[in-house]
Amino acid sequence: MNTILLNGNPAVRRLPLADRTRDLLAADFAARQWRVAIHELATMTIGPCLGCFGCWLKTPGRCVIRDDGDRMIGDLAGAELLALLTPITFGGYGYDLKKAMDRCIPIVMPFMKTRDGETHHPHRYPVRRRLLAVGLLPEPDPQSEAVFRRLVARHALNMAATAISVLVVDGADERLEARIKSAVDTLEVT
Amino acid sequence: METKKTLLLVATPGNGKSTSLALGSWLGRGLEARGGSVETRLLYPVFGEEERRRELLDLAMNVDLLLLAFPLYIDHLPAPLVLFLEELHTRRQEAAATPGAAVAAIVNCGFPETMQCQVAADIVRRFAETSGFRSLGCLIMGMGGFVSGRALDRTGRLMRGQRQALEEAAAALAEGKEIPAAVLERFGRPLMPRWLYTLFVNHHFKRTARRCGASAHLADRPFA
Repeated sequence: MNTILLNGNPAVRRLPLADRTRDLLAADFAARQWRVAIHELATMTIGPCLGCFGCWLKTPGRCVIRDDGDRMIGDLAGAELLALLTPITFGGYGYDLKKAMDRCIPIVMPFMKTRDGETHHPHRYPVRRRLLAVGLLPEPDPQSEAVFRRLVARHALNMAATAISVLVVDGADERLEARIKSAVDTLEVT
Repeated sequence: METKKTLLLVATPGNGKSTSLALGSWLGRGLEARGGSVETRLLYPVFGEEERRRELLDLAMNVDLLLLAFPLYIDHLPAPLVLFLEELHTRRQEAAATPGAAVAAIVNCGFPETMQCQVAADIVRRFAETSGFRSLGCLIMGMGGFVSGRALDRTGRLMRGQRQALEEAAAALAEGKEIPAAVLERFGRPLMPRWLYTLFVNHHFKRTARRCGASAHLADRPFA
């Protein structure tokens, strides 16, 4: 499976747990012989989306900002699995992942269509993706975790994901490797 | 607790015309009419400048009400606002802020369904709860493309209910109270049937693409 992994471990206050999780994810994907492009977002130059709709109406499919965000879109366009790794902040994605997500608009088209009773943008590329989201919390926080799960579910709806798996890791987890394997297995059997 | 000092923080790209600014300004005027002072700041122009962002953080630490106005971005808040709230959260853990300070927000999205903004409202609430703010509510609305950056007094009868809801929200916020559920509900009502809005938006995109000379390329796949 063609996979893109976006590591949102922040540049400031870097989380050792995020890097460990990234390594375990990469090892798991490799064991399944999946091709993986890992993007270390904290070290990439990804400017904020300008909200100009240039990627829809001027240079369709390409952002008008030519930075690392454009390279990331190239990998995302053909990916069958989008894997997200992020600290959970207020129930949402941390800044480093969010700055990358905001730049993903070129993979959809401007028009609005109703799907399953809700309005969404049609997809530019024929590939249908699976979505894996791994969120990190410093300690158990059921309320933030619940918001995070709702966010990923919304995101899966908007990208018409064919399968979704959410893993929330709080603090040190000795069973992390097994939990990652289980979360990825869910995607494979769907 | 009465709201005397408000920071209206508008997190939308561009410096001038914006739906978030139009909605936030209307509510801000309602607060001013009730004796409060409202300072309006745009986040994007200061985003890349650390000193100006720090000054904005100082301001946010010293108000009674932090009023956020932003468009939905990929089911969430725009990234620069996420960074700002992360920094403000850290600040509030390290230094004393205005006691009893509160957060409220206005979120709009280009989709017709208001509920697509609900998770963003939940994130704002979690920010408030975990950062020691009182959460006074989040006004959410779909069909933001109808406003398209116009001042609200130029949006006619279709926005009458939303303008009234913003007035009533201002009355509650001025007294330091939560925005009533009925006001949130009225603000989120659809402005028109979904099919009509979608027709209007799709027509707008087609016309703009034609003007940009991109009509024949809208479905291009540059990374195929």
